[in-house]
Amino acid sequence: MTQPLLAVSSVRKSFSGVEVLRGVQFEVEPGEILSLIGPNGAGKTTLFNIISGLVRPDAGQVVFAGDNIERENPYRRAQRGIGRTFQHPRLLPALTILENVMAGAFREGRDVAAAEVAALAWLDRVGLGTRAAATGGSLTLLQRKFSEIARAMVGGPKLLLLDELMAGLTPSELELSMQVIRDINAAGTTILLIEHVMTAVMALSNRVVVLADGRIIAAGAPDDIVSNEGVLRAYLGEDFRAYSA
Amino acid sequence: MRDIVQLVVQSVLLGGVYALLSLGLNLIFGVTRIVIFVYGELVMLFMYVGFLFWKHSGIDPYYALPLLLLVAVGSGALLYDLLFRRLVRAGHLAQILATLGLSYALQNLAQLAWTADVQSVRSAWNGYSIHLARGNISAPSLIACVVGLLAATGLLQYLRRSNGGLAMRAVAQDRTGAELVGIPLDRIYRLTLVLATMLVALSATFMLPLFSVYPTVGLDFVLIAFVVVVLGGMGSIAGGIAAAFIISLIQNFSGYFFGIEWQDVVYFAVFVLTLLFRPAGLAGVRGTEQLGE
Amino acid sequence: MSVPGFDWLPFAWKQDPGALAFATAVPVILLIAGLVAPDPQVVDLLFQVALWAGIATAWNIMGGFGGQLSLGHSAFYGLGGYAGALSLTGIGLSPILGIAIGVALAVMLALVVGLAGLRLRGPFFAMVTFVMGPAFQAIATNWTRLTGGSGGVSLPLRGDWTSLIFGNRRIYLFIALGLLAVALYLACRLRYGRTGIHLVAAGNDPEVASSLGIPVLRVRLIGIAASAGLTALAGGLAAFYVLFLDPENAFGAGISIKIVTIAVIGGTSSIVGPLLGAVVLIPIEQFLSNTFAGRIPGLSGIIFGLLLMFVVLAVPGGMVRIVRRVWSRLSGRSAVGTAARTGVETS
Repeated sequence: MTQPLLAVSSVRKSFSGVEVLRGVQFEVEPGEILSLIGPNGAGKTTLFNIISGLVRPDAGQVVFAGDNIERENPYRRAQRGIGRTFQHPRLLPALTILENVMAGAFREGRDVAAAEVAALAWLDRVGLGTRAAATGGSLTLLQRKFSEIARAMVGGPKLLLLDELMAGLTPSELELSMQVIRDINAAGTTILLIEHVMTAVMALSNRVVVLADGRIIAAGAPDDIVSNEGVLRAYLGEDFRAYSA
Repeated sequence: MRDIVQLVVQSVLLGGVYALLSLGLNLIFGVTRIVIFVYGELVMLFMYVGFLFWKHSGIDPYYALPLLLLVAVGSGALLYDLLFRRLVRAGHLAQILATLGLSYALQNLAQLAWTADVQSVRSAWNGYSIHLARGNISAPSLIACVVGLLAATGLLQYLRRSNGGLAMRAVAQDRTGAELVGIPLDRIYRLTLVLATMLVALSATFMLPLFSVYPTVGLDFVLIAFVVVVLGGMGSIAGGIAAAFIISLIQNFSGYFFGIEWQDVVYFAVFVLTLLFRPAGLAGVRGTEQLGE
Repeated sequence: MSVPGFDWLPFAWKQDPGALAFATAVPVILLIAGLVAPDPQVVDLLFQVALWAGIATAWNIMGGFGGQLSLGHSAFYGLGGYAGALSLTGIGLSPILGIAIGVALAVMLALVVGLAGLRLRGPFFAMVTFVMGPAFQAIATNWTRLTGGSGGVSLPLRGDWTSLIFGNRRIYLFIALGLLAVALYLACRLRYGRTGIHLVAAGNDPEVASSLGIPVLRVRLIGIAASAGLTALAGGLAAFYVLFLDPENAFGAGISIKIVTIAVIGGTSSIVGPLLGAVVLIPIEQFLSNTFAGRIPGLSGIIFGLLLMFVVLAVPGGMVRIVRRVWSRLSGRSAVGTAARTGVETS
């Protein structure tokens, strides 16, 4: 009976009087790929920020590998093994992507040489080994996203949070990205995705949780979710039945 | 007791002067969101013009006002076209460094042109003071204070009533939104600069009988102006007025009670504490702590 | 097989060999010149170059790489100077100890400033640093019993090495070169070493940095402390070179501006930008004041101020950027090599 890698319970958050998260509860099992979906504005990125530490919840717990982390600094959480990417790739503009990835590579007591080697290895894995000396500005969107993934992964996190990785990608780029995610997961990293692109969600996920109106309204296998009435109502409105074939 | 009353009177008068001094900066900050470090030097330059006017014509320096205002209109527009137009688009870092560089250049230019000597004017009003039962009021201070309050009120009216003023406030609150409804940003910025420079000219004229002028006097002025503007809330005229009086009181009273060496340090401390704990200032001007983001 | 303390070297060499070469060559050249130059004016010039290069390099650790623009470095500079001077004249203590105290004070101040910096965004942080210099100047001017007020502190013309007063001016040059070497070493380490890349990341985007496990505050404080400490050392040295200290030449805003000007015009993105800036600007300053001193005082101030404005608006990378462009055009290579830009992004 394994404990979940990440357990979020009763998380509430308001911004300026607007309640964005109203008691969110879900778990991420070790080794799985879990997709977090839901209509826009449901609070998904806020949830990520609460998990990674950029935002503190008003109430609730976040438990990672058995430890309560909801009050911890972001960097401590990262050191525990939580990595993340951002909705719009945030590469450090002043550094080459090699240096960007190296910024995340110094965990596990590495020195500069070892960090460089690890960083290059990851850039190779995502197909950017030859562009190591480039700066973010000269890369395509996909390349920037992959650089961010390499940077998040080089420290060997147990859990990777991917924020809308598939947004803005062409179908072939989607395929590439999905393969990268599969490879990362196969190598042992648990993945939590925020995603709108349903093809990716359906193809990749072991499980799906749906966040709507500040709460988790459904959780389960992808096939179950798409036929869940609550989910359909959340996305399509009260008249959702009118849309079915 | 007499001392305290005199202190309060002095503080109030000085507060009016500080309010006058910081109007221009407040306007520029509020509307254009540019961080400028060259404001003090602008005041300094206008003071020198006023001083030279008095020195070479013998006419009372207050009468230099029309001349200075005229110069202000031209130089304000020029300043915008040559420099500030570019600064609006550049990042804060560039604004700070560029205006810092300019201020340094102007300080040295002033020293070159007019020597490092400390100069002051002697207005016909300098000798006058009004004797109250409990204190003295020097005429130039009173005049400056009154002018300051009138100018602030005038500015507030302008901002509330006139088209230009309304446009400025729109831009101050929401630059993108203002642009979207068709407000010509470039023209409004230029107008702001011109108006602010005129306010600088105004303050220079009335501060000249009070303060000596020397090439680096700008530093003292910009520090005060910064503190007042930040404490009051950037872009808030009313806040600035209140802050000016508060700063003046703090300055004078701490000088009196702790000794003159701590007078400036105390208001620096106020400045730092305000930035740390209430960057929106007294007026609680939201969004200014992001300064244009 | 890496030498402890130098694990950044191979990486730095790959990233920016030109900079490393320059950083090694210049101090050596200054040293040799200092040994052979007969003219005391030349020795003085070399001293100024070495001193200001060191201070600007130290500043850049915080203001360039670390992304925390400091407009009040004169506070650290003056603390070193006054601590050293007053320990000699006031207590009869060796200024070496006094300067050490000054460094400790500067580091403490830096830590406070760094903590404040957590809550303050760019321009506000700059504003806070802007008042630091004048604040200390005001204290120094008015705390007459401690500092002698605006009359300043005069140091004896004769002394021995424990009082840091040397008859042979060259010795000051050597000390300054030592300081410069330390500054360059720290700059390299705080740019290319483990802490370095962390520092730059924290300065660029603290949220991203913390998501990578980087202790943003700790790293920033290290950068600021190093910057402040080095500057205080330099201030102490300068005080004993000039043998006179007053609130203006210790804490004056002119000092802060001079430092920023040298660093920014030189180029804040590179470890050697400030060095290049000093090497070019200080001799120009000396030349201008020697040639025009009587007739056009402050000419160098005007020129440098305008140059700063120009560089910031037109050539944000500073002289380093220009040198790199010229170099790559000459050698026919594409783009700007592997060295990337850090720090002062002005657009």
